[in-house]
Amino acid sequence: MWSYFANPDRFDHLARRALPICAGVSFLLFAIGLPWALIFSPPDYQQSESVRIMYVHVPAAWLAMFAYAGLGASSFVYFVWRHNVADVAAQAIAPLGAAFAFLCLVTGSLWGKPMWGAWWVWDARLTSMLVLFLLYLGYMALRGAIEDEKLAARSAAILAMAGLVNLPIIKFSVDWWNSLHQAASVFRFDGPTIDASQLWPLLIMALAFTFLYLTLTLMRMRTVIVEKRAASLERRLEAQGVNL
Amino acid sequence: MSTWLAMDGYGVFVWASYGLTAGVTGALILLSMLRHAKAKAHLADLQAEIEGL
Repeated sequence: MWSYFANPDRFDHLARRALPICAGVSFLLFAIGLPWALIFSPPDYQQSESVRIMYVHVPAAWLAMFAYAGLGASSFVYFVWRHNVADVAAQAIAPLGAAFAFLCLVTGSLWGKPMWGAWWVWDARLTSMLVLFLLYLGYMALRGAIEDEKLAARSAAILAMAGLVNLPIIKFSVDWWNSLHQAASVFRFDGPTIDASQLWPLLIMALAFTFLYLTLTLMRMRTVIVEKRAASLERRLEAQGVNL
Repeated sequence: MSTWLAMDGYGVFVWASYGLTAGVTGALILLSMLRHAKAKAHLADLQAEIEGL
């Protein structure tokens, strides 16, 4: 399977067909999820209407972690098998993951102020999420700082793989340390503890964001492939003595 | 309507969260589309130049 998708042309063909499907599904899910989240879902008995922040904060947090798992997996595939499409995926995922981590931190802060009375606390969950955001920034900075493309890809892949250790820390931080942040209420061994009237709009919004993320990832991967082709042509023209 | 917008006194926090999310995701979509169009145009220019050699 790896070698099948390692061919950029084959990938581009597949991505071109998958893009409108992912974009359409995302649009449809947002059309259902947004009114459900903002109008039809009930206010929380303790947090009142502020609970509606959950419908953007939680999907942003899940996607920031999901995207990092994707970044780590593609970095591993590139590092071990040198598959170029895996490196293209890593390049495409990093800014998207950073954007979702940023959204998670800021919407969390906007939720924390009215509920906890503070914009920020150095809590294990918040701090580990901040570390995730910094890992994304570090990955992008490292790639940009090294001129040799292959060396940059390999170095950034090592950083991305090392950063994977942060994912279980984020997930279990609320269990391992005393935390202001609430414990998991959806992904639990004994089932979700959140009421169905809030769980369903949350899942719909999470799916909508996931399909948006897939759309953007495919779009950015196609762009990186085009940019790599352009860079290769530039080198060819320069070798022929053409001034660009 | 104004009661709904006020969100029981949490309107500033709720609408700021949704506004920021819409802004960031909108910017991601727009920038991704612009970058793709720019890259394709650049590649087409280079291919035309190579064919002209």
